Amino acid sequence: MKRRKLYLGIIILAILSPLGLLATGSAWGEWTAKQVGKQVGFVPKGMLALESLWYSPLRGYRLPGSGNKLLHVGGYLLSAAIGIGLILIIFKFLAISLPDDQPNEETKNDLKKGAEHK
Amino acid sequence: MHIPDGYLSPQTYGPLYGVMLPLWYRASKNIKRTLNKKNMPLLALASAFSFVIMMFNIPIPGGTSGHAIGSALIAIILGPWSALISVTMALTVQALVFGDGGITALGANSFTMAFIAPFSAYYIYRFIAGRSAVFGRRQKVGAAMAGYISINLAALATALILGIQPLIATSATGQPLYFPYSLKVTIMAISGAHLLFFGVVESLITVLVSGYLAKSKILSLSGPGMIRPQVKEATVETT
Repeated sequence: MKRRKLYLGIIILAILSPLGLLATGSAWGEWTAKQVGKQVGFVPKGMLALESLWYSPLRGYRLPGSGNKLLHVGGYLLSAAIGIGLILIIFKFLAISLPDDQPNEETKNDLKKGAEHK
Repeated sequence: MHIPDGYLSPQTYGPLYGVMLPLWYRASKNIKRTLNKKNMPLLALASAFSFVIMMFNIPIPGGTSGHAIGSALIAIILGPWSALISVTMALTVQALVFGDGGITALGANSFTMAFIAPFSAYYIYRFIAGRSAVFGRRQKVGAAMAGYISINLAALATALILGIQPLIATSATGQPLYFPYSLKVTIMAISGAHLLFFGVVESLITVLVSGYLAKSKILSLSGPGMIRPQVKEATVETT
């Protein structure tokens, strides 16, 4: 089944993902309120209030408290695996409500077309 | 392009959630109508692809970094509604688990990366490439343009959303309450970086991966957004 190749592609990307750590600078406009405060001379009140609204367990794709480089790479890999795994599982659950195998409207038309062609 | 919590005023992130809700609803309806258990994994794969491609941070001059989104590629292969769902899912996991992009800003981030990007990409691709099933030169140009322009439209929208904050939400003393940089600064920084760098990356990913998928016949492509995973060669030959 050729679809296996697609999964393989995703796995390869996940393994290569720590290459993304070569970029040391953060994205423009993705700073903490404090960092913004340093840049503009004051900390916007709303930013400070909302910034820690949500606690993300793997903030920044890092294991909590992982200072050294190797752990950082490990945390990044783990993050890729967890993120991809979660997404695949969620879609698996979403698929429960869908019809099993029978072609839906559009594929049905195509199947008909394919048959006529033959 | 992931706007964190605290950057947007409620009068911005509220309406953007408002815009996204009917779009998410329509997308899920659309998927229920066109997908079944067999081809749902393609949506999951697309979402996982978008998630992982956004982990490849690319350093650019000036000390910042950024990444591709993958929206254009997904829109071309699976159609814009499928892209809307799969990219939204990637953004949701990023926000909830990894703190990449805010919870309050999820509507805004979905609006730029899961709506503007894939829909603009889809129509740009269709406009240039037509409905032909063959992945020839026109299709390549279409995919490349779709990738480049769509991520830049998303970037511009992000810059506008951020840049209007000091105009619409200030304290009694006139201090910005949320993201403090002006429109001029946000557009220069965000659009500049995408026009010069990340647009090129998104463009390359879109044209190379869609070309590979079409050539290798891993998926049967019958024009943009019209993969029929169930009917393999049939659609390629008949259309």
